[in-house]
Amino acid sequence: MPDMAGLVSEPQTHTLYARGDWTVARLDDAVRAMDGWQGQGDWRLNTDSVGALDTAGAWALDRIGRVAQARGAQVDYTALTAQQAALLELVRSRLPADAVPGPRSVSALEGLGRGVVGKLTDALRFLDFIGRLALEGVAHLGRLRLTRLVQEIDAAGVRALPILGLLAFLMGVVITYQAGEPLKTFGANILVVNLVGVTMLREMGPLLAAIIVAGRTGSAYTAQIGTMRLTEELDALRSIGITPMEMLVLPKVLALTVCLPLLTLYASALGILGGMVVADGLYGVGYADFVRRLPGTFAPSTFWVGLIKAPVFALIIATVACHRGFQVSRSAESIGRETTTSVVQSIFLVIVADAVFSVVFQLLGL
Amino acid sequence: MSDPLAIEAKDLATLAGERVLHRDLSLAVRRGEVLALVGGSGAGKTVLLRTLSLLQAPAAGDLHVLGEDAAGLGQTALRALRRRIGILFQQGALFTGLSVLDNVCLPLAEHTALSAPCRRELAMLRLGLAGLPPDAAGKFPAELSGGMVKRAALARALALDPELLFLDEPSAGLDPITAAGLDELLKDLREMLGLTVVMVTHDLDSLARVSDRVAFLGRGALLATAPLAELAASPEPEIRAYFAASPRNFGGSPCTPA
Repeated sequence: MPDMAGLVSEPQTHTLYARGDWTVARLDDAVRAMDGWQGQGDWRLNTDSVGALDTAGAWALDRIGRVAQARGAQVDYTALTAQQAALLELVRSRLPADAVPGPRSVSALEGLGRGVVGKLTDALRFLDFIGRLALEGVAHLGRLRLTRLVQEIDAAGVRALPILGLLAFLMGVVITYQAGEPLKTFGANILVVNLVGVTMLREMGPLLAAIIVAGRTGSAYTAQIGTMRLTEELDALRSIGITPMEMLVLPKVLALTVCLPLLTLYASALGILGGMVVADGLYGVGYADFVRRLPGTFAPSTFWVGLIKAPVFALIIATVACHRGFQVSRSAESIGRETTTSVVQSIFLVIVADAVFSVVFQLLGL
Repeated sequence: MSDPLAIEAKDLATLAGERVLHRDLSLAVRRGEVLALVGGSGAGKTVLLRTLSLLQAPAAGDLHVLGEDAAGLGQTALRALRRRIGILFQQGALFTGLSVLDNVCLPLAEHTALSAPCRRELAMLRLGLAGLPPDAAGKFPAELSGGMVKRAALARALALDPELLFLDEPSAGLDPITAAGLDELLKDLREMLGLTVVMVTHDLDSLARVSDRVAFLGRGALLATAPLAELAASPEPEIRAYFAASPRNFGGSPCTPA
């Protein structure tokens, strides 16, 4: 088995003995030994018992001299074999003269400044993006890519049906169950119909659909556009005379605007279905009673209030996701970062928008 | 350890998806030798390189790399073997989230117990060996030109002083001066360290300058493995066509521009 590299100093003869294999994986002891070595004056380096020597080993041999020089001592390298000397020569000629740059540290103040400026430019860039989207959207609406639009609707809408349906159904089950228990103590079992109907149509349906779409489709949009940016496909599109806006962004934005209201309806319906199952099973409200009572429990405005939010949520999700995709810089990490940001920002903005809607509807008395 | 062969492949078969790319391919690479793999586009040079460098398991056949049987290696042995192998990927494959210096430091940090300043100094040496200016060290791969990416990737491949170096088109995208410098470096390292090099290349000048033997891949097999001068005189039509495409003088002495 090869030996670790070692370095032993013999003060009587002023000789440094290097021994063992001076190769990259075995240098630790030798480097530590030369850092601890305190010799003064002129020394000779003896490498007779050095086994293997690679460029890292040659670097370490050279480092002995530099360590010594820093203290005013000298190391004489003339005892090296021709091959060792040649390798040392190669290493010396390729080693940069100036000090190695250490990792750059960012002070707290600089970090804060960069953070603030970053967020502000981010907001401005997003506005710029929306502006360009609106301009190009109007300009290119005439030659809208129908095939792309249909593909996007299929990917974002049709394929989301199973997961969204399951989650909405379970949500309806949970809400009815939670609300049913207290209502039962008052003997007001029948009111679960009002509760689950209004909750699903007005809030849960739109929000659930938007959150699933943001996680499922928004992240995909960001990753797709980001990867295309990384592989210069966006530049290739531009070189053919197609703008990424018309080819990628516009179909996605339109597809989501079409899909999300439909998905919202679907989520509300399945949520109510979940409620029906629980109401029938646990609270003695039969399916027929449930269906008969349902239309009377909410004003038509409740239905439209839920539905009108969906296109707004869709616009938020699609524009944020596409914009984040364009923010990908040329590194793999930034795709991950931007995708995360895309989902977090779009869900955040969807909930903020939902709160604004609530206030506005309240003021309008809807 | 004293095995004179760095790589010994017997009856190797490789697949690209469902398609058989090579069948019954046998190849021996001697220690300290520079072997070039050439062949037309799509001949499977990169797949063969990936197989020999243990990134892709062969579909059939025996493969011994640096004296170890590639098929029977456990996790620890494989890791130890990989440490002795350096690979330069065709596109560089630098880690885009790390600076050039950190890219080269990464294998050193993984496989040695050297202190961080020592690792950085060694990494700077690698960058110098690969011909990168010191100010490139702090840059990120996205800020480098294509040629500099190649050189930074070479520096990373050399980080652990490998015994066996695989190069996938090292001089593609390099200017002639840098390409010649790279060849000089390979020659120096081979002379001083006994480095074994397997390279895929289309650069005939580079072939003439550094390769000891050239293996010509075609029709799913090795058509010939011979020194360049011999290969250029081969009667095999595919090989003739390859070299006839850019005629040069490959006579006994190293290539001189006509």
